[in-house]
Amino acid sequence: MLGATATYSHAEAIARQAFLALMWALSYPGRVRQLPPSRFDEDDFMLFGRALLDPETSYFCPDGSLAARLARHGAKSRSVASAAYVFLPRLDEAALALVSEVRLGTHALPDEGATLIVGCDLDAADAPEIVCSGPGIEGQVRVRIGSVPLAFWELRRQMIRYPLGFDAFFVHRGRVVGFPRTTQAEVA
Amino acid sequence: MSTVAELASSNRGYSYAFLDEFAKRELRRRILKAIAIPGYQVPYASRELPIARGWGTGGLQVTLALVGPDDVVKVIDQGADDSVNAANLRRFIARMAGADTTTDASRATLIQSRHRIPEERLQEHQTLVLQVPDPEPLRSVEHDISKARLMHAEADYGLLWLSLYEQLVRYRRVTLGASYPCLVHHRYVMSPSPIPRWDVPKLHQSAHLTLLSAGREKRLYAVPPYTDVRPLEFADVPFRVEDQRGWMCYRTGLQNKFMNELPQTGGGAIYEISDTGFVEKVLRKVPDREAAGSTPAQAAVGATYYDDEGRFYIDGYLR
Repeated sequence: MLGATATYSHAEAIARQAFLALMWALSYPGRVRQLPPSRFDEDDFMLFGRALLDPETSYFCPDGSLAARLARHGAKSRSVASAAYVFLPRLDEAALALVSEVRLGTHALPDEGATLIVGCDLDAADAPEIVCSGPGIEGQVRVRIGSVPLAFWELRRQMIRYPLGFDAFFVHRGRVVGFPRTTQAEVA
Repeated sequence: MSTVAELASSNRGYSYAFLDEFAKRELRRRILKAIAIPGYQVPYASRELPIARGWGTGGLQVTLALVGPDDVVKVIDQGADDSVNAANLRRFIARMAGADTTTDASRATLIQSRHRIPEERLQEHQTLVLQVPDPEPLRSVEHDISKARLMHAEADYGLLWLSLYEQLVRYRRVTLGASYPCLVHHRYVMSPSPIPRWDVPKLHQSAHLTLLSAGREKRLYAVPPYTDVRPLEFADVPFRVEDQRGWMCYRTGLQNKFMNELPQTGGGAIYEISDTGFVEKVLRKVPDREAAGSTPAQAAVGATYYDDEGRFYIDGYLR
């Protein structure tokens, strides 16, 4: 029955494996997880788009080229203040200003808080260590996330008033680290 | 003139894992938010399935959104792998996803369960999907669901505490059995689904991920790994699990595991461990049994949440 009716296509496999990487990244914050390789000439951000975007949801991306490619998934392009998914390939000063505008949900609907997908450098040995604690973490975990200004962590701390807040994924060369709003992150 | 057969679209078969891409993607987005906000009930568009609502459609949808051919799936119903409901769900999942199946909790990557958590401790990167008939822990004190949502938003759980206090005044004990309300990550009160009180502590600081889903109510929520889950209790009236001291499983001779009570003709009762997969493993290990020598490389029985003396594995959690 299975062979004739339910094919586990490559597209299906990539979408599922990308989702599982995100699910485990969010379940065990601060741990680096591998994203699946894609045969579709997709970068990490497009892989996120494949796993999460469709006409039922919305996104924002300040990078015109990436925004155009993400549009292929059919999601609605919205302002940073109203988008469900905010793609930030680089977290420079301009992008940091955008972070301060993302939606944080309401007490009635905290799940409306945005999800950020942020480009970073997970190989930067000189990046400051981020000490993480909270759900999904047994004690503490330390991770170095380069190309993310220290101001981001302070801004995040100020913006998250649990359960209100945003959730973030940091991506770099096929790897991802999750930071749900429950994670307390301190710069060591 | 066209016939109905000609007008109808050709049979293209099912989507992988039955649900279409949009349904799976929506469920996956919701699961991520549920993990990010432990215990908060995330609404989702519960789809129709070839089983009736109330028979595990919530759990099944979550399982179908996660499952792949590399998964090993275990389905249990009140602890039993061989009940009609569990057997049918397991067969459906295996057919739709090409996944392997097992009765061994330690071997499973994905466990869908109705009303029990296995006796063996689950490990990191295992996912437990609990079927939930009623996700709303405030239902007994607030029938208006809109008001209940507002109470969750304001963390207003006074009425729930009052109902527990009233039970103490009236019956000298908390009379709640299954679905004992728990505070998750110090913020949301959730229903752990109708698992017995025996299983509630297993959710606290667990290594595995727990997803709970109610298909009829269109709500799902999560307990991420290593998250605080505390049953509501008063400082001077601690939470208690079911008292089954002295009960011995007639099949394994073990005590201090959650038991089914089997009434006997003429009065009296015998007891058996509710977790049939665990019993299976224990029986395989008994050296005198003929099967033991001929069964190749059986998995060892793993550490359990409660030891043989009935002590929970996290010191101090049960007072």
